[in-house]
Amino acid sequence: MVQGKDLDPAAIEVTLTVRLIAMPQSHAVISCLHANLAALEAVLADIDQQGIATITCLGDLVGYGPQPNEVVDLVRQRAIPTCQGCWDEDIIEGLNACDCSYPSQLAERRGHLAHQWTAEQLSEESKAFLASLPMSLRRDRLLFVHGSPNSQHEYLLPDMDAFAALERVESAGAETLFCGHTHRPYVRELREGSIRVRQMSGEPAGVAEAEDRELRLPLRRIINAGSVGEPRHGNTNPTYVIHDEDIGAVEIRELPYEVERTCSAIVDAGLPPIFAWRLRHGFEYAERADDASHVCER
Amino acid sequence: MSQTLLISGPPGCGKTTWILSQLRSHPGPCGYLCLAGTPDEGLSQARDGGIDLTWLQDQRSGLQDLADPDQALAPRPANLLALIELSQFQPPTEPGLAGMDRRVIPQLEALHLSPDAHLHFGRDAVLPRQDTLDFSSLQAWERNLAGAVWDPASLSSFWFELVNGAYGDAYRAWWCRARISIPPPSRSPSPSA
Ligand SMILES: [Zn+2]
Ligand SMILES: [Zn+2]
Repeated sequence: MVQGKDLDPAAIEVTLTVRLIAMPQSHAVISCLHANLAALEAVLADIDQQGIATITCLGDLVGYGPQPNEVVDLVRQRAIPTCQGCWDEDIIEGLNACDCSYPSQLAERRGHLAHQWTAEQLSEESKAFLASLPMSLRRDRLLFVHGSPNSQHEYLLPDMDAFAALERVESAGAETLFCGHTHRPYVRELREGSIRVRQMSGEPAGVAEAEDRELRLPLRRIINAGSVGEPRHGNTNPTYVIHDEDIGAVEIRELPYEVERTCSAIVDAGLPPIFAWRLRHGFEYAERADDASHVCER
Repeated sequence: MSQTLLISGPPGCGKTTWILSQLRSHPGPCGYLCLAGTPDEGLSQARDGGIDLTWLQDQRSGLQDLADPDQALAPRPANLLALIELSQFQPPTEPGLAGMDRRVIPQLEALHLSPDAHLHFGRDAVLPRQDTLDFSSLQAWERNLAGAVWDPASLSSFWFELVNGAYGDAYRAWWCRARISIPPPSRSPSPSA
């Protein structure tokens, strides 16, 4: 063991060199901040500590949490490229989510209450920023969206039908699709995917000869960043992902933060104290609908 | 030989559970009565509303309701086990029957019931040990939600929060669904009408 003053300066140099070479390929992806400033600060500090300079945000800057303007300001200050989340869209456009996106009247009422409170609190500047956010961001073969390439409101769940999942990635022309919205992080590899096309020959019915053509697809990936501000994965820790483009490594990071700071802010802001209780216990503010694949047609 | 026991203890100490175990192990006829208890100083109690009797009758077939005035006058079977439940926060000051809360005696007399023994949770070793709880700040909260509409999913969310302490430490909670009215399906008039 090398200790304190005996530390060989050359050893430090080697370590530093390795870090400098290894880091620039990595980038971080964050999602679903939900106006939770303490959680965002903790996540950004963790990203900084690892020397990662590129951060992409998948939206839902606001909603339920007590510090919508502060979170918007911090994202703008850090100039983090961001796409629009379901909450960001709804707060600008008015509630788009239909009743069926809530599993109960209680959840719906809480959702509406949070919406109304957030809409009142947001400055015109913050609203203008949220309105300016794009639906998706693209860097080469990486695509960044909030819910799915189809909609900010569509949930891409880890157990979604493989063909449907592959279709979402492939039709968007992406190799790796980053999404959030479910508040549960995951990495899904769609390996050796193939699309089989059955072509019928022009013979009359009954004697038709079918010809199968198979198109083999290379590895596709869906990476869900989870949630910074409203985790739904079983505890209170925010999650985000670090992705290394060159070697394709993905790390789902989870870290503690000062959850009580946000809980006090919820109560001080006059939001329902039950929001603080739910956050403190790692429960989402309002439950999600059973049929998560439902996309409102309104 | 018939036996009538008065079982008392603070709410949630396990009276009903212990009573059920006795009812199940008794081979002969059984009866049950839940006394309302008296509001003690600084402590309020939610009304029982007959929940315990309904639950016990569901668990032990043929359980007699000792509060039924018709049965009070009928001759009781020789091997009847009659169990009377009483919510009582404070431990009795005297042992045995002498420690019985005097205020419940008229109720018992009206139903022709006279306990052979009085057992109190925390005092009598024959009963299981109750977990030690400070009831000095116990509050009971009751809401009549008649006319309010609760969808089952909302109720289950609220219930989950309630029993997990979101609204304060809950020691015991129950709800009962009194009535669900579903409007009849609207029918188009039949051709013959
Ligand atoms: Zn979200
Ligand atoms: Zn969302």
